[in-house]
Formats: sequence, structure tokens, C-alpha cells
Amino acid sequence: MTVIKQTISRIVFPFMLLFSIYVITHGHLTPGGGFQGGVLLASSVILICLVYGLRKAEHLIREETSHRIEAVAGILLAVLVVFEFFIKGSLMASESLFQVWSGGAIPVMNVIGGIMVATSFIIIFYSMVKEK
Amino acid sequence: MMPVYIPVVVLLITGFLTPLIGIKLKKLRRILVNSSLLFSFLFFVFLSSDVFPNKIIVQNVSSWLPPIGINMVLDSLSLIFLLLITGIGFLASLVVEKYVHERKSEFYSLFLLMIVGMMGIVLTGDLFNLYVFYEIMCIASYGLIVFYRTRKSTEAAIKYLLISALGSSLILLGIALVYGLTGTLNLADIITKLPENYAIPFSLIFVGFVVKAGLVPFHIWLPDAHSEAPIPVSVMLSGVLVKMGLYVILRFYFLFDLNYLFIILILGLASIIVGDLMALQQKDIKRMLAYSTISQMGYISFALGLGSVGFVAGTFHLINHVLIKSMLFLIAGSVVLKVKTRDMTKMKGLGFSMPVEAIGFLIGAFAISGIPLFNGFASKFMIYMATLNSGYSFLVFIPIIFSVVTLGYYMRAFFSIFGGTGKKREKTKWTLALPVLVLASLCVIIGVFPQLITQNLQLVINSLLDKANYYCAVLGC
Amino acid sequence: MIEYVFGTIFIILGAYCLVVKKNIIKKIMGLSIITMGIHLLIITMGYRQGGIPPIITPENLLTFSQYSVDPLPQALVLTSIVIDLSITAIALSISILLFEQNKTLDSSKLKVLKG
Repeated sequence: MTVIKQTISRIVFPFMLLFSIYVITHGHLTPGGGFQGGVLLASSVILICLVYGLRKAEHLIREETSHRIEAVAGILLAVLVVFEFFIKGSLMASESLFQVWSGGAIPVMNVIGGIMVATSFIIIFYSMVKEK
Repeated sequence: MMPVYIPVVVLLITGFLTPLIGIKLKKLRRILVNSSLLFSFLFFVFLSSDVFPNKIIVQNVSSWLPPIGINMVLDSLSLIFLLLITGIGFLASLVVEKYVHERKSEFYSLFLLMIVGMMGIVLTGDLFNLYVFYEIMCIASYGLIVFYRTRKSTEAAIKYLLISALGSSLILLGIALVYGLTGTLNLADIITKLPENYAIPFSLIFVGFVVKAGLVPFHIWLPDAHSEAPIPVSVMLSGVLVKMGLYVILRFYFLFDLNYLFIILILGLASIIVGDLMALQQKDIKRMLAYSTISQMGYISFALGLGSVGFVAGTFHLINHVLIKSMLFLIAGSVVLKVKTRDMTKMKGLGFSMPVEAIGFLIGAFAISGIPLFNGFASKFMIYMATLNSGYSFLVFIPIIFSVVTLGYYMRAFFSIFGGTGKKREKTKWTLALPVLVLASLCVIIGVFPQLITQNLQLVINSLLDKANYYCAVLGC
Repeated sequence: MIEYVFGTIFIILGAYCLVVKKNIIKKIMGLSIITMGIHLLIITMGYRQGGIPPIITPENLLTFSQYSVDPLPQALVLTSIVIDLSITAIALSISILLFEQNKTLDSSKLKVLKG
């Protein structure tokens, strides 16, 4: 890929990461949430993979690592759902409105869901790009 | 009382634990999957005394009441389908080890996800929840058909995917229009809020589910997909998944008074004719069974389209067809496993070395054609009597003639595979023989005593025709 | 009102792509376009004249339900976007397999299964 694309994507990449984390954690206050932020996070890694090639993107995050992170996030999500559904306690007990640290278990579910979605898309993209 | 969604949760957790266990403990994985499906089946058997025939169990998921919250409704029509889904699922999961030799954990996960999707469709009381579970079932089946990664199954999978995804989009459009007409998505709440002209959204939903049910002219994907899939997947697809389309059509008929029965009659008639005539020309055994599925779905739709005289006959034939077709596909699987080819002209003389499968195929062939003493005769006779009692008595010749055609190609298949001289008897492994024996004995028992099923079905249908029952159970009167 | 027309045009164009084009990738794109047209129709159904976006802020806490547009179709569309994404992902994986086995992506060359 040409020098222009590589330079621009190297500049844009940290802003994409920051914006995706913002969208994930403010899911209960502004539009966004787990799925949307997760897709943004994955697309930043996919941008690096498209522009620099698969080997450079593997320096960023390898496929093995993303498999393990996804499995851990999946188990945490299942545990959280069981907790929230059957035990009925609120995890974040501060009952204030319009703050980031509020809303019970919704921000926790957003974060875990965002990580799970992001790693799933990274795995899907890596397996499509890999040769044989 | 136990919550109704426990089997769904158990199967979902098992589906996600299976790859974890499959890394080291392979025997435990198989026992876990089989026992979770058996547990679901027994759960619904024990729950059947609470529900049957005219009581409804309603479970509110999370503390918001309907019509704002989502609820799960278990009534007797759902219970019939749930027993069939979990029963055939358990019998199909017993034979998975013989047919799948690599990437077994992924197969088990996708298989359990498909069963979870099917159970979710019959248990839900909310229109969008129905769509989500329907999509879970469809996506799991797309992944399962292409599991062997051969050339033919890839082509079958891409055809199936494009046609079925188009059907799902039509269902989504129909659901959106229903929401625009009534302002709510709860099935019980829509009963009272439907305006005068509501045919267009429900006709879109109807077309979407008929694509899945495999009626003519939306049957194009069915022979390819059912013949190229692995055998346990073929058993579930041809046995249960095509019936899910008819379940939703029945449910919408009983809840909202739609009058599309005439269209179901015409499509059913066309399916009988096309399915049987195409099955006459097949040399591949699984493709012949897939075209026979199209034809029998035509019989069921024909019976349901006759109006209130035909509901019991149609539902009874649906139950019988699930049992018969699953047994026939399991037998076809054992035969293909032994001879390593699916071409019927190359097989002969297997009757001596596989007597269990031969007798099972004979029972299945007689049952599906309507020979007395088997369950197909009882249901087909009820269909003929219902045709004579309704206003369409001039159409009674077509089902009768095509029953004879069905007997014709099944007998040709039987003599081609199992006839002639052959080697001596070899012992069939019990995991392959047990499901066939269970289903064959059920066929014979229901055939000799059909009153066991028909009297209960009559009570179930009578209670379903009364809409106030459902409405009062969900929203309170 | 104009968005209803655009949604219907999307659905018709997507159906045209799905049926007429011969490349499998273009057919999958047509499927996605049909779904996008349906989403546009769903969201437009919830519109209210002079409405505000369905987000509660400290200013409009009391008059929220009078002025906001309907948030339920938007939640339906979010779920449906996820479902469409998984269908596209599995369809593209199957088409990769198809290309490896047939060396072409032309759908009129898929003639192995017939009869």
C-alpha cells in the first residue's frame, strides 16, 4: 500500500481507539453501547491489517490472543447474566442519573460485550485473509 | 413451579461449554450433550400434565409485565412441538459420533444452537423474539449444511442461504408493518388492536415462513440442502425444521382470524403433485427422501387448508411424518455409511446383512404411503374423510392417487437397496439401531391405537380455537 | 414521507441485484441492501412531527414522552443490524469456499446439483 495510506492510518489509529472506548463506556448516556463500540474497535485493527498487511497486524494482536480474550469475555458475560438475572442485586449501587458511574450492570455488560464483539470480528477477518 | 425457560438455558450453556470440554475429555463431551437433550425431553414430559389440554403457562421474563415486557407462553400446541423437537434431537444426537469425525465440538455447538432456536420459536409470546430465535435457528443451519466442505454441499448451502435469507427479510418487513398498524409487539395484545384491513403484513410473514416450509413454488432449496447435509443434520432439517414454518402459520391462524386457508390448500396440492412426480426420477436415496418431504408437507398443508374439519387430520399427519421421516433418514444414513455411495442403482442385497434397517425401511415405506396397521394410514384416512366432508370433495382423487405413487417409488427403493442376494448378517451397532427401533415401534403403536393421539388432539384443537383463553392467560381478564 | 419512497427504492434495487447479477458477492450485497431498505422503513415509521431524539438529558426529563420519537423501532433495527451482519459473514465465508473449489465466482457455472 502506498505511503499516503500508511501515514494517514498511522495517525488516525489512536483516535479510532479512543473514540471506540468512548462509545462503549458511555453506552447508557449517549447513542452507542456494546455492539457499536466493539465494531469500531475491530475496524481500527482491520484498518491496520488492510494497509500494512497481516504480519504487521499480528504484531498488534495475534489470533491466539484474541481467541483467549473472547473466551474469557464470554464466560464473564455468562456469569454476569446469571448474577443479574437470578440474584437481583445491582452491581453499581449509586443511584445517580446522567453520570458515567450509574445504571446498575449496564455499563459492565457494555464493556464486556464490546470486547467480545471486537475480538469476534478480528477473528473473522483474520481467518478470511489468511491463506489456507 | 419451575420456570419454563430452563431447558433453553441449559442447552445454551451446554452449547457454549462443549468446545471447552472437548479439548481434553472427549467422552464427557458426548455424554454431556446426550444427557442435556434427554433432560430437556423429560422436563417437557413431566410438564405436560400441567398444560394439557387447555391450560396455559405464562412466564414473564424480568419483572416488566406484558404488554410492555416479553413473556414466554407454553400451551398445548407448543408442547406437542417441543416434545417432537427434543425427542428427535436426542435421537439424532446419539448417532453423531458415527458420522462426524473432525471438528466435533463445533458440530455439537451448532447443533445445540439450532435446537435452542427451534425451542425459542415455539415458546415465545412476542413477535420480535420470534424473529430473533428464527434467525438463530437459520444461521445455525447454514453453518451445519456446509460442515463437510465438499463441492456439492457448498453449492447447496449458498443456494439455501440466499433463498432463506430473502424469506427472513420478508418476515422482518411484515413484523415492522404489524408494529406500524397496531403499536405493540405482544402476540396477545395484537388480538384486540388489529384494524380492519390487516392482510398485507400477514401475507408477507406468511410468504416468509412458507419459504422455510418447503411448499411449491418455494421448494427449490430443499432437495439440495437436505441431501448434501450430514445425516444428523438431515434428520433434524427434514424432520423438524420444515415444520417450524407451519407452526407459525398455525399459531397466527388461531390467534388472528386470517383467511389464507385457500392459498394453503392450493400450495399443498401443488406440492403433493410436484414432490411425488420428482421423487419418481431420483437415483440418490437422500434426494428421493427430500422430495418425499416436499410431498408430505403438501399433504399436511392440504389438510390444514380444508378448514376446521381438517385441523386434527393435518396435525396428526404432521406428528406422524416427523416420526417416519426421521426414521427413514437414519436408515438411509446407516446404509450410506456401510456402502459408501448414495446411488441406489449401485446397492443391492443389503437385506441380509442389515435386517434391522430393512424392516425399518419397510415399516417407514408402508407407513408413509398409508397402508393399514401403521400410523400413516390413520392420518391419511382422516385427511380423505376430511376432504369428503368439506366443500372440496372433488379433489379427493389427487391425494389418493399420489399415495399410490408414493408407495411405488418407496417399494422400488426398497427392492433396489435391500433385495437380491447378499452377504450374511452383520451385527448393527446399538447406537445406530436404537433410534430406528424406538421410532419404528412408535409408528406401529400409533398405527394400531390411533385414538391415543386423535382424542387428545381433538381436545387440543378445541381449546386452541378459543382465543379468549390465550388472551386471559397472558394479560388477565 | 420521502423516506418511505427511498426505503422502497432500496428494497427494489436490492431485489434486482439479488436476482439479476451473476457474481455471488454482488448477490450477497443485494441481500444486504434489501435489509438496509427495510431498516430505513422501520425507523421512519417511528417518526413524530417536530420530535427530539430519544435520549433523556437533564433538561427534558419531564416532557420527554410528549416530544420524543418512538425508540422501540430503533432498538429493533439495532438487533436486526447484528443479525444481518452475521448472515453476511457466513455468506462470505461460504463464497470463499466456493471460490476455492470452483475457481470462479460465477453463479451460472454452479451446475453440479440438478434434477
